Amino acid sequence: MANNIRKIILADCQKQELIVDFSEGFDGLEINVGKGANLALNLINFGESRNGKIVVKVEENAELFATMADFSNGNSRLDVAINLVGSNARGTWRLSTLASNQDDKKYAVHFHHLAQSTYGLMDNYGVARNSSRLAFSGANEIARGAKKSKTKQNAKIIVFDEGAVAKADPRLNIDENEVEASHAAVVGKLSDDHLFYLMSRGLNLNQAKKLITYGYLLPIANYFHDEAMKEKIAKIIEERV
Amino acid sequence: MDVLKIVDLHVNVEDKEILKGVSLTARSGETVALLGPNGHGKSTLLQAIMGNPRYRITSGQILLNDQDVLTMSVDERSKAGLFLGMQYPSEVSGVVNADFLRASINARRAKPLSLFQFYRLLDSTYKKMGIPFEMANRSLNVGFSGGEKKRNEILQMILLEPRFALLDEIDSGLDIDAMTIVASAIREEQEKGRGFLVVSHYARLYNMINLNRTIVMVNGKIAVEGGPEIIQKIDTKGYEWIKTELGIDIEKEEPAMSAVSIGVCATKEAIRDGK
Ligand SMILES: Nc1ncnc2c1ncn2[C@@H]1O[C@H](COP(=O)(O)OP(=O)(O)OP(=O)(O)O)[C@@H](O)[C@H]1O
Ligand SMILES: [Mg+2]
Repeated sequence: MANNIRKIILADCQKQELIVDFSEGFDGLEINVGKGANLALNLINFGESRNGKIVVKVEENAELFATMADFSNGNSRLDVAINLVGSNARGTWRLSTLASNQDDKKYAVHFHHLAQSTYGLMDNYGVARNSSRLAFSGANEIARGAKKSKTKQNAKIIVFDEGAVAKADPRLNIDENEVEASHAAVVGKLSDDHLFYLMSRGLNLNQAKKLITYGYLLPIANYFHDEAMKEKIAKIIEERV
Repeated sequence: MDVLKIVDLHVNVEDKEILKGVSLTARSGETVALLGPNGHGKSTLLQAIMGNPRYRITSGQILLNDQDVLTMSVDERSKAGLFLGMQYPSEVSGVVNADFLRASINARRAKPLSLFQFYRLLDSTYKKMGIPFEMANRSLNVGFSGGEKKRNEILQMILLEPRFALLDEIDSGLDIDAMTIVASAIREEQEKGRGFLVVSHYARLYNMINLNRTIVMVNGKIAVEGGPEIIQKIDTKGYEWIKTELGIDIEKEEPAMSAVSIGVCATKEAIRDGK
């Protein structure tokens, strides 16, 4: 894999939007967001699941805004490392994923705060259906000296069917005092109260589960800029859930 | 005529018996007022009729036009014509009101409404309830005020055209104008011949709708049955007279653990209730 890594270098102060479609194959990405630059990275996969590694370096005053809609089929492991190397560097990672059938999907997302006043936000959302497996491991590390940095991690997985197995493993690793850090992880079934409410209006269990799940996965589409892509995501989610 | 018949119903919540033998018959075109002190089983009765799995029926019957309701799933009960306007409607984030309403309406129709028909119906019902139409595009009840949630319940009742509407404290949280809107919506539905079971603590809403009967639930049983005079009596005097006139001891709610040592009586009640 390493010999095929694609490299993206965004020069200082550049602003760029980039769509990477995994379903056409994926060998990994190495990205450098130069000083003051701004990269909106939209990752999608509606086809076959792919392993991969994404490594991003965000320099001083630069920003990465990464969003992934992974509605692929199969097994995969994705490793993401976001290194906030310059002061005021900002990184956001948002994932919405669905594991179905026998899928086994793992996501390991890592934020490294290596400079002062950096900001990191990680949001991993998933649904595990049938007898699939879905695992999120998130790590936010703030290095010594990265004062006034803020880091946040949310993980949420809905276990849709009895046979599905899900795991969320959030970690914070803080080596500096003057920082803000938080994490939240929820793995669970759909709320019985919500299901009862919808069913009391005539939706059967399956319809109620689908409506809630659709509403849970769909918000990822808001972070895609391309209108056609938004619609495609909505359609895929509707088909898959 | 539609008949909803409840026979000697016993219901447990988390292994505690809450309803201890409730019998009640409601008919289409009739409205029954249901009152009673806090925690005495009014919501439990309504939730059990709708089929909330938290409320376990240990014995008794619920029949809708001689059909056994207890063997029906929750959605089947809804499609059979039962509607529960909830005391605490759930907030379901991500589920858009309009999508939810459309799915609910179409669930009971052989042929789904066209998008155009649906939006026309939705628009007029929102207007009737005095709810801004933008709310249709928001997540179901998320961030709605108490009063907005209750109006949204009545909006659903109108759209779903039930045979029997069970309304649980639908007036709580409503301002006076909203109360007027809700009351006139209920009266309009009463004229269509629907049956109502209306739970409230206050005379205000009851005075604004048509009533046929009043029942009072105490200790998980129906203690009193009569006319609207009972409501006025409760409104002015509370529930103490039930004890003095009928000799029924009113059980108090279990005090929370942090607030036990209030008095000897409360402690005793708690011990007895806990058994
Ligand atoms: N989901 C639940 N979990 C635990 N206890 C419950 C639940 N629902 C009801 N109970 C208990 O059952 C009893 C009856 O509650 P219920 O909600 O039926 O009272 P109510 O008559 O509707 O009271 P209120 O006038 O306060 O709404 C109470 O003691 C309550 O705490
Ligand atoms: Mg109640």
